[in-house]
Amino acid sequence: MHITVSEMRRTTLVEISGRIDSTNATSLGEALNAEIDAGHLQMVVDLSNVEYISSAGLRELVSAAKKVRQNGGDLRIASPSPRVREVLELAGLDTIFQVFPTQVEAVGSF
Amino acid sequence: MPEERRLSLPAVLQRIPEACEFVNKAAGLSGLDEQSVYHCEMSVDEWCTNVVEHGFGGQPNAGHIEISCEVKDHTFVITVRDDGPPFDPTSLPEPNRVTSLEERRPGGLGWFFIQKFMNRVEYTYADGFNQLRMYKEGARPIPEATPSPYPAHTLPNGVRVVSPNGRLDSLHGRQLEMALNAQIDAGFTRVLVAFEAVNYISSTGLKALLTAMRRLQERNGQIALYGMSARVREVFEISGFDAVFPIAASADEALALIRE
Repeated sequence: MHITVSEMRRTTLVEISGRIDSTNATSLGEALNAEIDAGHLQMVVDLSNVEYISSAGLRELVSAAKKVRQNGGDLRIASPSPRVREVLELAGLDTIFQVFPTQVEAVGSF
Repeated sequence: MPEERRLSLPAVLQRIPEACEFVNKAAGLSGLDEQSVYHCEMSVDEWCTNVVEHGFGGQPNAGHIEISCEVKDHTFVITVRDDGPPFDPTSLPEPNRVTSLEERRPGGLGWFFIQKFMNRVEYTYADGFNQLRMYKEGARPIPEATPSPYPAHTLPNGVRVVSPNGRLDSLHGRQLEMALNAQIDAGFTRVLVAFEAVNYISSTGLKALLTAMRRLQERNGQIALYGMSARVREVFEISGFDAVFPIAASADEALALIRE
């Protein structure tokens, strides 16, 4: 798994690539928490290059989303692959997260 | 998949990806479609994670996980055994699916996925072992090795052109490997692979190409690829394989790439 964080004008863009599972979900959580602690509460997580995410990774996304929302922000998902989208839908997370087909739309939604 | 396959691992998180790869490969060979293969892989990932985190309580050197895969009656069967304390998944809390984020509590989601992804699941505890058996329908016997199922022809300069078609996925990637091996075994050392009729390639397809390239390099031979759709090309770019293989737009350009 590789994480790239870019600060945009109104949002923080977190681009993840590779595989998110129980061996690396904690590092994802730490990366998201570091942004939250720095006061970056409007987050877009781009999943277009994530081919696999297990419940361990989903838990970190949910946990980060909770924190930013408690502080008036939001965490939105951009361009999940069909496999990842299926997992989000099964877990009912597509109703919890705002999911956008493209990064541009997700960033523009803030 | 003709015979049963087995894997034994220490029960630590860092080794779980090996279990995933093992099951992914076996499921692919069983003829399940790509989505079902993904479901099998994720179910094993989720179960092994539960075993390590809840069963063994995250202790190091705690014990072992043993995984076996087989095909029975067109069903892919995964059996996972561990020598940890009894851990009955049916005791896990049901994940509350349609509540708001604030009420959503972690836990049980992995088990929820397993139940959704697999057709049937059976848990037993006997003789000091937890055993979870997971069933996924849709497996079929692997077709017998046929000689090159993809068309191939030889150019006047002795270059061999192989033209696979359709999906080079976990099942057909193997056919590609056989097709390329057949050319190399027949003595061809300069090979072009025409991608014009290929609409999908997975890691199995990429591995087949890599194997062929290594074999050709051992024989001072060369391989080049051409005629990819944008989608297929993207897979090469994302995986970094575009830096590994010479890739051209047309047959003529590809020929120029492997001219000595």
